Amino acid sequence: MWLSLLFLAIGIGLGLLSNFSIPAIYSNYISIAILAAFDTLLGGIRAHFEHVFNQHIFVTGFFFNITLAIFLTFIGEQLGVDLYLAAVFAFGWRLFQNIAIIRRRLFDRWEQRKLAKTNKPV
Amino acid sequence: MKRQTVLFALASLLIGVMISLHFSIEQDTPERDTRDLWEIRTALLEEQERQQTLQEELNRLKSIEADYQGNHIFNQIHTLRDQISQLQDQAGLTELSDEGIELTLTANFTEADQDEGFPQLTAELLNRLINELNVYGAKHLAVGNERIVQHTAIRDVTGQVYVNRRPISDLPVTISILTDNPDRLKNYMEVGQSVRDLQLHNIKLEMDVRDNITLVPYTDNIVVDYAKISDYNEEGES
Repeated sequence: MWLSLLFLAIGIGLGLLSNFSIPAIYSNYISIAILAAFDTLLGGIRAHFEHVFNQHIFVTGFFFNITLAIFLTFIGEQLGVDLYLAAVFAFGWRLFQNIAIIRRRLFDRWEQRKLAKTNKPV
Repeated sequence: MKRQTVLFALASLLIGVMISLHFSIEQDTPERDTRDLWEIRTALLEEQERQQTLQEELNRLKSIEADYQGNHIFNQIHTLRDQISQLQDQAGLTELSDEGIELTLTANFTEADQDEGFPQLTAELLNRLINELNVYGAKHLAVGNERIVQHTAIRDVTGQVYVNRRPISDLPVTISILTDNPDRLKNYMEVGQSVRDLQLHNIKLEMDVRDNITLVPYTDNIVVDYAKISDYNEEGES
C-alpha cells in the first residue's frame, strides 16, 4: 500500500522533471488513460483482498483497458460523438464499486484484528 | 504476495507519470504567426530601433558610471552637479532657451456665430493640444507663463482654465515649445487633429518657428510627499 503511494509520487516527480509537454488536443486521451489505469489498479487491489488476484489478468487488463479507452476516445472524436463519456461512465462506476468493496474489506480486517486482540488470553 | 506489491507499485508509477503529463498539458495551442513579410519587416525595424535606443541609454549610463569611478573627488562632484542640473532641466525647474515653435491661439471672430459668443479655450482642448504636441516630439512646453511639468494639472474651474493651479489669461494664449526639430513638429501639427478641434471652437492656431525661445522655469515646489520609489524603468523612453 505504502509502496504504491511512494511510487505514485515518484511517477509524478519523474513526469514533472522530464519537462515533457503534451498539446492540449490530447488532454482527453490522457484523462481517460488515467481513469482506466486507476480502475485497473483498484480492481487489482480488490482482487487481492478477495484472494483472487491473478497477475496475468492484472497486467493485461492494465494495458488493455488503457488502450481500449484511448481507442474509444479516438473513435468518438472521429465520429464527432463524445464516446469517451461511455468510458468515463463505465470506469467511474467501477471505480466507486471497487473502492466501496476495498473499504468494506479493510473494515472487516480491522474488526477481525480487534476481535482477535480482545479474545487473546491474558 | 511480493510480486503483487511490485506490480501495484509499477502500475502506480505509470499512473503517476500520466498524471504529471496531464499537469503539463499546454493550456493553449501556440498562436500561428500570420504576419506577412511586410509586417515582419516592420516589427523587425521597430525592434532594431528599440535596441538602438536601449544601447544609447546604456552607453550614456556607462559613461556616467565611468565618470563616477574616476579617482578624483573633484571629478565626481562635477559629474554629480552635471547630473543634478540635467535632472533639473528635465523636470522643468530651470529656464531654457533653444529653437522651437511659438503657437498663438487667437479668437476667430469672423467664423464665430452670433449665438456662440466669445470663443473660449477649454481645459479639454488645451489638454488635447498639449498631448498632441508631446506625441509629435515637443520636449519642453510652457503655456503663457506657466511651465508644463510632469504633474501639471490643467483644469476647468468655473469656466476658467487653470494651469499649475493658476488661471491663464483669456485668448489670445501663447504656447512656447522647445523641440529638436521645429519644422517637423510644425508640419505634424498643421495636419493634426487639434487644429480642427480648435477651429470647431472658433480658435485660430498660428505657428511660428523661432530660433530662440525662452521658457520660464516652474516656480512652485514639486510635491513628492506621496511619491514612491519604484523600479527604475526607462525602457519606454526614447
